[in-house]
Amino acid sequence: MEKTLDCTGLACPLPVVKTNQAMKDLQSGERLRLISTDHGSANDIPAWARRTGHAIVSAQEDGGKFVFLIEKAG
Amino acid sequence: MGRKRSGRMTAEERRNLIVRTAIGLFARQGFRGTRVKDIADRMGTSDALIFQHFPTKRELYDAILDEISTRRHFKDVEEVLYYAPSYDLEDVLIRLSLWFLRKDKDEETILRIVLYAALEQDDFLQELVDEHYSRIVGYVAYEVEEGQKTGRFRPGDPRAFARDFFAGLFGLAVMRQIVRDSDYGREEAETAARNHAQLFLRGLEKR
Repeated sequence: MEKTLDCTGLACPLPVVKTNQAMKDLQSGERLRLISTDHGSANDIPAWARRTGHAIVSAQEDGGKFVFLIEKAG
Repeated sequence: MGRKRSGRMTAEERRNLIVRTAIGLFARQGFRGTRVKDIADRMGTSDALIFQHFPTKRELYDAILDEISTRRHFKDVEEVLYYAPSYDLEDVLIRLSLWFLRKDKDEETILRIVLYAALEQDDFLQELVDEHYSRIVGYVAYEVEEGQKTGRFRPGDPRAFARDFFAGLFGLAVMRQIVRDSDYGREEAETAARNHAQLFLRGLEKR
């Protein structure tokens, strides 16, 4: 199952706060597609994933829009 | 990052020193009152060297924004927001308030720069506010809205409530750190931060 969280237009710390919240509703192995336009997300999301143990399956940037596919840890 | 064998600064060290010197001068004498020559004089160097690192005012402003940005100074609040298994909003708001109200040289410098930019209507102002303060209002508004959904908080415009929280905090910080009014400085920062956060939350909660 894959959910999408659109954080377009939201500034730090909200993309990480909302991602954190959204991950709590997922089962391990399920994925969240996060869309963020906050430039800080480029560093914040991978750093957050490293600390929390979730896996970044893919990370793309296109014209100031960051899209992360995050898989919930077991 | 080491120095060159001659003992001279590396380009990066020199660049950082320019930024820190500029921040200190802007905070002390404003944007209009600070010329490139003042920055060079303070460093004991030439205008040319400053221009070599920062060919335009824009580039120097960007470096200053990066240096004083909330993101850099906000790590202890992020620690709770990002990594605590669950966080208590009151705790986060107290930490946020404390960050503003602590008598800290960095915070005073940032306040002074924002006030100078406002008084001089410098085009830097909006960026400073966006980079430094708007994200706090955005975050608080989000939490107010979440609290309204669960029925904890009374109805009303979440962003207006968040602005009240921030403006009160900003005013307190100015009275304590810039005006240095002894009455406002009576409480320790911890007490003032707790009072501010609790007044805000108790005012929002449904009776």
